[in-house]
Amino acid sequence: MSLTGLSSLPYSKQIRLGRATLLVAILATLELVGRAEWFDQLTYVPLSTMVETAYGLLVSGELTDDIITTIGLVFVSFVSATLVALVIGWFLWRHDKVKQVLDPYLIVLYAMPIFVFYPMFIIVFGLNVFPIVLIAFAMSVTIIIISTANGLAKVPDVLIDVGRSMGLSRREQFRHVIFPAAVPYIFTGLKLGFVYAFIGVIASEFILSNSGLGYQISWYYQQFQTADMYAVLLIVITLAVVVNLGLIRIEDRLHRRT
Amino acid sequence: MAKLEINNVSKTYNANKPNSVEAVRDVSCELDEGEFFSVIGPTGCGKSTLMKMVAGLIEPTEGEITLDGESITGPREDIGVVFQEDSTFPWRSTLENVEFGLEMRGVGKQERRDRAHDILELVGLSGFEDNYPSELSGGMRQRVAIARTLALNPDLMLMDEPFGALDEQTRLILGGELLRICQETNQTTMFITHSITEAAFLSDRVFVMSARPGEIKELVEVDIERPRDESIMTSDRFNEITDDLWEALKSEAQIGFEQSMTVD
Amino acid sequence: MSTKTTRTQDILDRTPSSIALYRLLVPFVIVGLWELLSRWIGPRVLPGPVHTFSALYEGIQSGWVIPNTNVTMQAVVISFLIATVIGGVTGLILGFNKPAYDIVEPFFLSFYSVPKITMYPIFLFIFGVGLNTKVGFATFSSFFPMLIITMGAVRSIDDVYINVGKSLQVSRYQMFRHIVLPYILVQLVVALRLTFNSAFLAVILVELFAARSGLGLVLQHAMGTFNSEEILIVVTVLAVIAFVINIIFYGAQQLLEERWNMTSDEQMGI
Ligand SMILES: Nc1ncnc2c1ncn2[C@@H]1O[C@H](COP(=O)(O)OP(=O)(O)O)[C@@H](O)[C@H]1O
Ligand SMILES: [Mg+2]
Repeated sequence: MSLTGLSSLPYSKQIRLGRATLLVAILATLELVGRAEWFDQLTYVPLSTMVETAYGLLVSGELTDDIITTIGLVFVSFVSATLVALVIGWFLWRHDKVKQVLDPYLIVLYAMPIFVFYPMFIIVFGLNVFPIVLIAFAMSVTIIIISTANGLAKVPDVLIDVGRSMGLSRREQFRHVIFPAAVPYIFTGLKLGFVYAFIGVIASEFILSNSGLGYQISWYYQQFQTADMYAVLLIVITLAVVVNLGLIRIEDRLHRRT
Repeated sequence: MAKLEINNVSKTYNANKPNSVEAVRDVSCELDEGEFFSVIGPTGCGKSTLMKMVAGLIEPTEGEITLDGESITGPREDIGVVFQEDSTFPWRSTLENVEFGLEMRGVGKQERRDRAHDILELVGLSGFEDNYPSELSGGMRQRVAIARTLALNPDLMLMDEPFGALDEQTRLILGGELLRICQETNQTTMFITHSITEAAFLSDRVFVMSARPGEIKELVEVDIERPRDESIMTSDRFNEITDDLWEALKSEAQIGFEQSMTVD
Repeated sequence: MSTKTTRTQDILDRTPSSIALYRLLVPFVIVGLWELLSRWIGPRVLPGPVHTFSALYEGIQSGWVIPNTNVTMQAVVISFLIATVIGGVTGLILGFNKPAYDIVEPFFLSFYSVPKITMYPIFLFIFGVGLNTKVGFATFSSFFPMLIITMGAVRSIDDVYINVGKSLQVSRYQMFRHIVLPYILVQLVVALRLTFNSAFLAVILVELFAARSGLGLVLQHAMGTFNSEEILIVVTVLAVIAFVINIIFYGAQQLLEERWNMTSDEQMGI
């Protein structure tokens, strides 16, 4: 296509084309760096090898248990964090004084390297899935609390007045006016909460555990099975990126409504 | 020679693309030194576009604009602009906002402070020097923006619906003050508005723009003597003029309204 | 005039002294809960606050706490600084270029969600164990929040401010110094905080996984020997450092927001 043809495309098409080009460039780089043999086989393998190895691992069923473990743990941590956070967020919204007292602490808690508690949890609960769930839960819960409390508080007074003027009960008011109005904000928190639950599970598995995708990466690393390590890493990254893109899509759609 | 000449100016956004918008079509007019000139037209008819071209912020697709016979090719020191949106800097106090342009031009601290105090006095904001914009009402913020531009003493002042976001009473009060300021400074001004009363009250001449693409529809002379004050608003001549303006505007406003109903 | 009084009133209402007082009490409540928890679980497994603080004091006296903290914090600060500069400059460049921003934004946002610690082995393969590897990896992981927030902040600048600058013919430097920088300042403070936290977490994770010194390594040893006292000492030190630094950044952010009534970006959830 000629350059003039390119610039006559609508802007959004140009951007999509740009993104596709960038993606291809990244993948090609990952492949070519491996092919160029700047690194030995123990350090880096080409993208095609990673894909092939990943395919082999997936088909042979070797990773099935780990995938189920990881996804299961992420799910349990995220769902429990969401439930707890929605209730606490709602409570903080109802009790503004409490919220004001705790606000700076929530921000700081969100920023804390929660992960340092992992060794402690292992000592208290033993080396099983419980410490992992606890870490992922703790990493995920704060941001959902913050976004729920702030999201509910951000609902414009005029919308609440509309509901009141129509004689809605407290419950109806919350169900039909306040909650739907706050959903886009809350969703941003859920998205980040999910991301942190995922990071928490994988990081815990990676640092110390005996199953899961994170564990497999560190195990293959220690066994010098570089191709397998990159293969699992590729699976983890793909999983993270795909889920995140999906969540961003939903988020954009929700925000367009506001 | 006229102060400002707009010669057959047109503007099409995204020309030659599927999403092109013809905003202004073949507009010509002239402003004399010291004249207060208003442009009135329905929302979306290209008023801001016209003003941005005069300000040198965007280029016309066709035609030429000259100030004192010199073609406008970009922003210039002798043109001051007050924008439609709130443009006060939230990180600067009232005084610092008004000093901004002077500071950027390297005027010394004491000099710009004195100048800013004078201008704040002129726009009735003395006593608010140290307040931040977030502590001021919308009307006061717009005064700060006007003061920031006046402080530079521009040859030509462009104002894009400076009171557009304000309520009717505040508009009237600020309009009265603007009238007083302009009579005091004899500032050449191009004023954009969609309020008929405001245009008739302030201007020497009013230029009525058609719905998009904006063209000259009519040029109305406001032959009411200066100095003016609020009392002219009840005069017969004032009512005749506003009737004329409304007559010229009515059909365009209808078209503009229909244009605005098409969702893209 | 009236706006002035209502505003002062507003601030008073929002932070009455009772709230400030309760805020000061929160750390004591936390320590109290810790004590209760320790009694419930048993001080052998979970030593209480008094015991931990005295052990911390002994640890400082016997000379292992401070040097290890120094090792860890040195890596954190260096990576934080490098990530801030690189991420900030890249963010500015991308933020000012709308098409480039629109193209790269989804890539950076999705990469933000990747658990980057799993990529640490790559750094180990290439650079071996050492300070450079640690710093390199922490820089890499903390670069993203800085970049994402900076470029988003630049993009969020209201056109009208740029137009004010243009119509006054300010120079490029003036446009940056007096319009762009103040506009994005609040968001930059948020970015600095998140960047610091990312660097902090990255260094600890790296030290836990493979390191020769630092608080993370102490944690790793203590975990292997079930030495919960030592773990709690390290956790306390790390928590206090993170707390103090975050409170400082957060205070600065609040001050700016309060004064200018500008808010930070919501993209990262804060
Ligand atoms: N930068 C731009 N790109 C494309 N179209 C624009 C741009 N700015 C304004 N327009 C379009 O040009 C028309 C005139 O806009 P404007 O001059 O702002 O009108 P007014 O100030 O009279 O309300 C509108 O239809 C608007 O959507
Ligand atoms: Mg306009």
